[in-house]
Amino acid sequence: MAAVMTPGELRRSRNPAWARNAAVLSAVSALLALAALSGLVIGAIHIPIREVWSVLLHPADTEAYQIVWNLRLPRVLTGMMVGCCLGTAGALLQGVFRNPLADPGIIGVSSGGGLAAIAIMILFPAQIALLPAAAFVGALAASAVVYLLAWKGGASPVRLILAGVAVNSLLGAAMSALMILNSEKVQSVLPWMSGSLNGRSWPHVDTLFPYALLGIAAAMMLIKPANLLALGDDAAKLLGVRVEVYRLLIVACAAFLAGAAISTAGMVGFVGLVVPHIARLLIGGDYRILLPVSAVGGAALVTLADTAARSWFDPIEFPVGILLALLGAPFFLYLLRKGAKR
Amino acid sequence: MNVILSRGLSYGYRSQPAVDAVDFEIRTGEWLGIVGPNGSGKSTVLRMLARLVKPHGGSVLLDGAELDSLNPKETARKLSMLAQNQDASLDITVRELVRKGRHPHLKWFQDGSSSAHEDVVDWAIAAASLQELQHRPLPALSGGERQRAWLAMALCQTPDILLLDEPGTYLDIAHQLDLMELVRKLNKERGTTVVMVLHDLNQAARYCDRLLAVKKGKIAAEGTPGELFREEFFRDIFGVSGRIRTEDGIPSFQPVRTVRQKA
Repeated sequence: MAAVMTPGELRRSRNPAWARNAAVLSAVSALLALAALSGLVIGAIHIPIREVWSVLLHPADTEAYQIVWNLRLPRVLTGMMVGCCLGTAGALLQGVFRNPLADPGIIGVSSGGGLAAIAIMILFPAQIALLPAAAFVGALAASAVVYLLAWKGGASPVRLILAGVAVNSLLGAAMSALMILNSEKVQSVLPWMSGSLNGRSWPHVDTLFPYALLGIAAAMMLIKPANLLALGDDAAKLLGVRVEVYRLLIVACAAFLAGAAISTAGMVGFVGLVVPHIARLLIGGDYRILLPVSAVGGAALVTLADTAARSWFDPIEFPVGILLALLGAPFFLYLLRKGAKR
Repeated sequence: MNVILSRGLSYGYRSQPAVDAVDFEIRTGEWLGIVGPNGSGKSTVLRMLARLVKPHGGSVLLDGAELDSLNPKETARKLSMLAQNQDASLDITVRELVRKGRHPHLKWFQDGSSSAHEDVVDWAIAAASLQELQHRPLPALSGGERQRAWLAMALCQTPDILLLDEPGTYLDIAHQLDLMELVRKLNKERGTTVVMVLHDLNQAARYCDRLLAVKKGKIAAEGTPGELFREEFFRDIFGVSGRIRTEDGIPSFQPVRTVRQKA
C-alpha cells in the first residue's frame, strides 16, 4: 500500500469519474442540440440553417416560416419531450427493479395505454379526441393493477416483474382480439402501435408539456431515494429508508412519465430500455448523473430517429418507433458485446 | 445496563418455528457472539434485531422502546449491520457507497457534502483501509474488498450498536483477523456494542465477551467463552467431540470427530 493519506487529502483526491461524467453529459447535450437543429433543417424541403435562424428570430409569413414554425418545430419539441420522459422512466425503473431489462413496458404502461387507445380507435372512432386522455388513464390503471397484484405486505421487484408479465399478456391478448375482430380497421391502428410522431403539432406540445415538466421535476426529487433503493432492500432498510413507500413513488413517477409519452406518440418502445442501459454502461449507476444523461439522451435519440424516419422514406411517413428498433437493436447488441470500457 | 432486550421473540410456523420464543439481553458496550449449527435460527435472530425480518411473535426493545414503534431513521442512527450478501451488480464507487452511511443523519434535502459529514466518510474509509480504493467502482473489487466497503458504510452510520452476520465468510484469514481487530478497536475505543453471528468458534472465544448458543430456534447455552467451552457443549450443540485447550486464559477447541446426535 502506498503512502497513507490523511483524511483531508483523501477528500481532496479528486474522483477521476467526475471528468468522465461531465464529458458524457456535455456530449449528450451537444447531440441533442444537433438533433434539434437537424430536425428543423432536414425534411422533404431542405431549409438551410441560416434561413432557420432568421425565421426563428424574425418570424415572417413565408413558406419557410410555415414549415419551421408550424410543422417541424412542434414535432421536434414533441419528440424531445417524449424521449426525455421515456429515458427518465426507464432509468428509474431499472434502478428500483435492479434489473437491466426493466423498461416502462414491464409495469403494464404500454399494454394498458395501448389497449385503451386501440379501443378508442376501433370501437369509438367518433371520440378520437379523447385518445391521449384514454391512453394516459389506461397506462396508469394498468400499472396500478400490476402493483396491487404484486403487493403482499410489500411489493418485491421480482413479484412486480411477474405481475407485469401476467398483466401484459392479458392486455396483449385483449388488444389482439380487438384487432382481429375488427380487422378492417387495423390499418389506422398500426402507426400508433409502432409509435409515431406524424402530424404532431402545437396542441400536442401544449398538452404534453405540463405533464413532462411535472414528471421530470418529480423524478429529480426522487434521485436520492433511487440511489438508496439501488443498494438493495436490506441495505436501504438498514439506513432507515422506507423502502416500500419510495418504491411506490418511483414506480408511480415512471408510470406517469411513460404514460404521458405513450399517450402522445403511441407505443414507442426501446428508448426506455436502451438509453438508460447505454448511460449505465458509460457512467455507472449513480442517479445524480444517470438520470440527466438518460433524460437528455432519450430526447436526442427520439428527435434524431424521427428526423431520419420522415426524411429517408419520403414521401412515406415512417413510424419512428420502427426505425428506433431497427437501428437501435443492432447498436445495442454491439455495445453489449464490446462491453463497458471504464 | 442492556441496550437490546428480546422478549419471547419468535419466527416461523407454530408447528416448526425457526426461532422459538427466545429471551435474551445485550448489554451496553459488550461484544456478543451468536453461535450455533446451520439452520439453528441465529441469522434470523440477528435479522429481527436489525428490522430486516418482522417477528411473528414477541418483541425487541431498543433502549427500552419497542423497535417496531421507533422512527426508522432514528433507529438507523443507533444501529447498523453488515449483512452476509450484497448486490454485486451495484455500480457506484467505494466512496459513494460509504457516503450512503450518512443518510440517517441527513434531512431529505441534504446531500451530506458538508465538511462534518465528509470527515466521517474519510474516517470510515481509513478505518476499513480503503484509501487506495475509494474511487474504484464496486464491481472492480474482489469479494473481500467489497465486504470491507460495505463495512465502511455501516461504520459511516456511526452506530452505537453494530450487527455483523458471518462477516468472515468471504475473507481470507489475514483479512478476517484485520476485520476482527477493527471491530475490537471500535468496541474498546468507541464503546460500540457488537453483536456478531459467527461460525469460527475459536475466533468467537478469542474476541467475544459473551456467547449465545442457539439450537433449533432456542437458546441452548449462554455465558463467557471460559464458562461455555466444555466438551459437552460441543457434543450437545454441534454434535462434535474434541479437546479443549486453554492458553493465556482463552479457550480453544480442537474438533476430532462428529458424534451421532439424539434426534
